[in-house]
Amino acid sequence: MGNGYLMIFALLLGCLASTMPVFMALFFTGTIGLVFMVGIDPQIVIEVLYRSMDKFALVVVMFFVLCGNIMTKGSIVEKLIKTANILVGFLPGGLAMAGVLACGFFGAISGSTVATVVAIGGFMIPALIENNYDEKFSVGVMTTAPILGVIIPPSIAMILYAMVSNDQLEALFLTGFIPGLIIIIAMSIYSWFVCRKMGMTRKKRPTLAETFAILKESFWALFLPVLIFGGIYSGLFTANEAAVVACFYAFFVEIVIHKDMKVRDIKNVVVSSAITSATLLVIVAGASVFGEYLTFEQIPGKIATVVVDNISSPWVFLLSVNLLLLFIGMFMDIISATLILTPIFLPLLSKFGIDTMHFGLLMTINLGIGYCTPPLGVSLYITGATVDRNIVYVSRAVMPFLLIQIAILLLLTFWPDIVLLLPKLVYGYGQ
Amino acid sequence: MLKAVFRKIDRVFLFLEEWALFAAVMVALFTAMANVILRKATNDYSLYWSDEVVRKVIFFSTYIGCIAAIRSRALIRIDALPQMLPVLKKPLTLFSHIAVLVFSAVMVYLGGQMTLMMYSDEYALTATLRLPEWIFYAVLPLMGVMMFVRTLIMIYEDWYGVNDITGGQ
Repeated sequence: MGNGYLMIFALLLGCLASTMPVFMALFFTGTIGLVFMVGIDPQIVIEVLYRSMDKFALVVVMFFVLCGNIMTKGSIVEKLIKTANILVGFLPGGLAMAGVLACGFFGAISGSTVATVVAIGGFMIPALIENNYDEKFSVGVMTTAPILGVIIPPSIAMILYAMVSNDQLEALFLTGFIPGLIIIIAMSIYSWFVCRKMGMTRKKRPTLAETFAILKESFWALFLPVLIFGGIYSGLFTANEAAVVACFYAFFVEIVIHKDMKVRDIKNVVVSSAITSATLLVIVAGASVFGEYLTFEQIPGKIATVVVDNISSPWVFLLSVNLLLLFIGMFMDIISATLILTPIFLPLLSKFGIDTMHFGLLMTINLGIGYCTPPLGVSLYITGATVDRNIVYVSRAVMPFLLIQIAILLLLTFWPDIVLLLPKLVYGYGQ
Repeated sequence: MLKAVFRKIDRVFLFLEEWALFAAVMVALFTAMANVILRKATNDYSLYWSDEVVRKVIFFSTYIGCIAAIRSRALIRIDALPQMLPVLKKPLTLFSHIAVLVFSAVMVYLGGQMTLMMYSDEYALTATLRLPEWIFYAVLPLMGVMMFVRTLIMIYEDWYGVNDITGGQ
């Protein structure tokens, strides 16, 4: 690899570290590479900025962001938490389990970790502390469980990965269900043990009538994930169509059924969602300019050659990539990291015979863990602010949960069949 | 005086951004939904132009949304360095603002050139709606101008330690 490429990568790292917006860092380095190293007309970058956003597949990001915002603004989130609580709240550590389960429910509608931390964590941490749960434990569980937001589909990170890797989005979504369930079970078992050890008193088991009443109250909220996944996997909708239908359904439920949102709130929700979606999608545009430079210089292929010359085992490769992604996840958000790194890793996957969908899920989990990895994980700061604690306190609180998630990540790394089981069963993937 | 001008500009921009984004997203939402209903209800009929409308809305709302994101400081950035070394926060913020100004200028210059090129090409039309392509390319220089002005307002607020122009949003 020549010095020129290294200079461009060093420039990218410098720009990213300088706190300039990520999409501009990608745009500037990509443009400098294209114009000064490849020697092409600078007008090409305008063409790339235009064409990169002229894609129908991106609609799914915009509409799932909108759907998540409608839920947060209305009362769907509150109803999901109530349901989770009535189902597992009576077990030892039940409220903590309910928090984990609620993150799973929320993840099945929204696609973002930060949205899950804010929506569920902001509500559950005070509730746990009020119910005499240890503060450090409460902060730990509700900082780390929101990783389910990006693992359980729909996941914005997976949507963007599929766009780069050309994997079938609906099949890629399926890879997240079993790992998400494993995380819910593992974190719940840990909570059960910890709370038993602490001698926490159990809540009274709800009667069948109480359970039924809550389920009835939450019916419309619970039907939303059924509509999304039932629609996609019955073949009724594509993922894009499911996102559109989910938005209409969420508006209908919040305005007409729950009456927790007024018609005049629609504008604010739509505008704030458009801005959030713009901040994500514009990184796609910046990454496309940088990607154009990578393609012109055939850099992914060159990196692949260097890596293959030095690593022969796919397992060693995966382990090294896991460590690298965990490290990168500490500093970079999941969207930027997915868009920057996927084109670089893709040529390596075929060399090592690693499935692209398996890798997509590992990448998502890795970078999701990065959200709660000290010292710079965003989730740490959000929950720290909720309880008015510093980063050292929150970092200690998340450690046991991070170890559980890293153990699950290793299990999934070396046992791809768990990840690919559902795509194989539903779509006959890889057969 | 300058503050009053900035405040006025901020309000006008805010009005334009909010209504443009709201209208664009609602058009995309209703068009996409109408297409889903038509396809399911009639089994063979769909709005042939809906795909293009949605794609153009994504393009438009992404770049216009970026201008609004400057105001709310919502553009995604990696702020690891100022968190580790708080002393660097101010110079890095200024550097970041300058980077946005440079980006805006590049958009005005290159985007403007491209728009004029498309304007002079009478065959540069969108595939289904047959709308002139230059209308969409013009979003980029427009974004450049608005982003430039917005960033000047943010620099003013940061420099004087005030947030009463944008209301600290």
